[in-house]
Amino acid sequence: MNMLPEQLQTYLGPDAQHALVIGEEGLQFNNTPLTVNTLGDTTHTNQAYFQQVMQRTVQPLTTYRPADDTLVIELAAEVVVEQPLHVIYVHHEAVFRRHVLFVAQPFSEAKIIEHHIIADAHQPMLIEQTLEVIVRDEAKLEYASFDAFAEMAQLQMSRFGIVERSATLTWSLGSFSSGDTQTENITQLVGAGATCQSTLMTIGMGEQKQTHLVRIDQLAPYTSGVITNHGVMRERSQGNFDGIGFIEKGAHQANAQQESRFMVLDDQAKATTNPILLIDEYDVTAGHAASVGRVDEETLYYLQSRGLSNHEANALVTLGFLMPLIETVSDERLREKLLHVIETKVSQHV
Amino acid sequence: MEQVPVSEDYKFGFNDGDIGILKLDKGLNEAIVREISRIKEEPEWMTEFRVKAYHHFVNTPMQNWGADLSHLDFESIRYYVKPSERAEHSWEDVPTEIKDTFEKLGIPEAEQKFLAGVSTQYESEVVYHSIHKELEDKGVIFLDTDSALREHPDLFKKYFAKLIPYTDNKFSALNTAVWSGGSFIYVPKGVKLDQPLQSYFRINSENMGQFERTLIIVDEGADVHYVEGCTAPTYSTDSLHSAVVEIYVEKGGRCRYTTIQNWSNNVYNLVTKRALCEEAASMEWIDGNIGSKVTMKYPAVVLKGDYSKGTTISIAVASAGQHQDAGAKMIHLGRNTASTIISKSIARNGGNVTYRGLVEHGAKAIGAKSNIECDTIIMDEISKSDTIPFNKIKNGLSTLEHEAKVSKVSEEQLFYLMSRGLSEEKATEMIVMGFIEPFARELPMEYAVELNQLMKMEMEGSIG
Repeated sequence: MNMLPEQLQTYLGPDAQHALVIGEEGLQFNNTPLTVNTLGDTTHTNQAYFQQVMQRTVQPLTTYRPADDTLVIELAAEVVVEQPLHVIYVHHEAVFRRHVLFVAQPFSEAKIIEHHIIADAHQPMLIEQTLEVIVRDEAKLEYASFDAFAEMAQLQMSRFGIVERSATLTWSLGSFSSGDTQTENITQLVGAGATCQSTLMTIGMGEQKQTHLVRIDQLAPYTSGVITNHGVMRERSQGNFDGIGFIEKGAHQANAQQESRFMVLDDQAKATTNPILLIDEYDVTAGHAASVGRVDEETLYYLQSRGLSNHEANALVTLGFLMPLIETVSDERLREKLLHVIETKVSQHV
Repeated sequence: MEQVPVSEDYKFGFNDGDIGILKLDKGLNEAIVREISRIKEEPEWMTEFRVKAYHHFVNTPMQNWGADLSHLDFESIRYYVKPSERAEHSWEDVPTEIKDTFEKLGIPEAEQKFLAGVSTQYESEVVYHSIHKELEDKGVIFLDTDSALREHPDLFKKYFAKLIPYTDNKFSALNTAVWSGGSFIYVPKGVKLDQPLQSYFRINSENMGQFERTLIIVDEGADVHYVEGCTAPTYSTDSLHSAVVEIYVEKGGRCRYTTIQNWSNNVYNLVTKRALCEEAASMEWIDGNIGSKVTMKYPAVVLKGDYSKGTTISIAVASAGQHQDAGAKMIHLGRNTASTIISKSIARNGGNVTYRGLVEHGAKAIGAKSNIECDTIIMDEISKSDTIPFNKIKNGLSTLEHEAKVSKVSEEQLFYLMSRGLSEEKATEMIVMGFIEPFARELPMEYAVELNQLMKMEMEGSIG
């Protein structure tokens, strides 16, 4: 067991018990139940999952290019971890493509928190990361990832999930970087009773373009797919949510729900939301709600009458708008951190 | 479990034989386009315009989105049929055979007195056309589009194909090349019509396309309600209906356009409908799509003037072999513009129903508001439904709300109604009628009754 560098220890806080660092110096483990292999060294079962969702997905937003590095991270069967597991990526190179296959074996339970750290924030960077998460029978996995990079970094995140029988996958995603961001998140519920809940929040500023696609394919009966996207667009930023809920024929008693909302704070900001439902089965419940709107004038007036400046009032309303999503994050320390990131972001002037 | 209900046959099971007098060969080429224009004795500019549109049609590829149009064979369609030499003006002159069909459709002769004006399109040309004297006195022009080109050339040329140019899409090009019939309405400043203007459209000849062109101009402060009803007898080979409807609503005007489309299950119904609203004008599309094999229809409102308002209330019912791909478009350009879309879809007996819509708030559409609601009921295990809305907001001062639900007939509601002594069939019918009520209540009374009958026939046999 390696010890973490002091810098990272401070970053994660004194309570962090389990961490895995993936960086230039290779892998560093700190009391983690995860095993890491290259694709060639892992089991055949795991290898069979590699690129499975990506190949079945009809139209990936970004064309897949071979990765510079492929890793298989595995959580062994029946391992239940109470404390969050930190997976930390340290980025050094200007252009980097990584492919990660994460397998949660049957009956395992864990909360994963993904971190991205840029070694040199003043260098232009293109980060392309492809993540495949496999949640096998009866396993429960929470996967949280929040990025808050400086303007120099360009992000392209592709996340895929396969959820098997009675397993649960929860995505908590936040996109708070200052550069252009494009993400896709496609989950397939392949086993009966599989559940996926995806929440995504974002704040757009400056001239930034934010494009996010979230898709849940429900291919088995009794599955539930819930998509929640909330975005706040400031200044001249542009935001786009594409949400797709697909229920295949035979996936009876499936439930697909979707909520995509944008709050637009400035006159020049733009927002597009396309909530799409594709339903091939009749015994289902499905619904979506979408809205784009500005801050309620009355609320702003009320807050200002209580002594807040216009800017503070806007910041408070923004926070309130994102709060329901922040509350879905189960780890308290991460919630606090998130609140801090959002508060910094909304109080910024460009 | 499902059997073809008897009502499917009954619904459109009458056919008056072929009464067309003049027919052109099947298929389309430049000579046919010129021939159509020659028969109609059109001015030079229209002939050339048709030819230009024809070439654009030929050079435009078929769109690759939406419903499947691969079985549509343009060469097997007859593009022009003229049933009688001139448009009839009095009911007595109308051929008995045509009257018989109206009888079956349930339009009694006495209805004339009730209706403000009837322009009945039977095959491509208008054969019966009556305008109430009151309308003429008010200066309202209500003609078939061919007569309007002859009698009001300046007004016609000013508005024709300005809102929907032939370059808009493949089918607007086709319509511009071979258009025939349709209604032309001009309502002068400040004239408000209490009675709706109505027109019945019918396709009766086998393989005959119907390409009517409707142009409505509502001048400042005027108010008109136009009702278009479509029914067609059953035929076994594919038929095409490709209409273009252009509506201009000037400052403070209001136009309501009601359609109950009930083509037989072999008709491709590909319609381009668009309205332009000036300041404080209001446009309402009331759109029912029940029949046809494939429908692709997205009534649009361009909200150009400040404080203008657009509304689309629609239902789509897709049964066996049908694909209803319908929706609405709202383009907000002016300030404080408002739009509402209510769409109700029903898929049954293996039908496929798609809501496809676009709401766009332009950069200058400050204070624009939109409300979109699209609900779907999937009645059985072999039917399906897609909901594909696009919402684009290009300024930070407008508001949009969108909601949609897809479900089957609620078992709780069914259980409750059956516990009160209703049969499953009756209970299902009640739930469905309740579901489409927001649409039905917008219809004129006699149309609401007709819709009720139609829906009841549609629903028969839907309980296994």
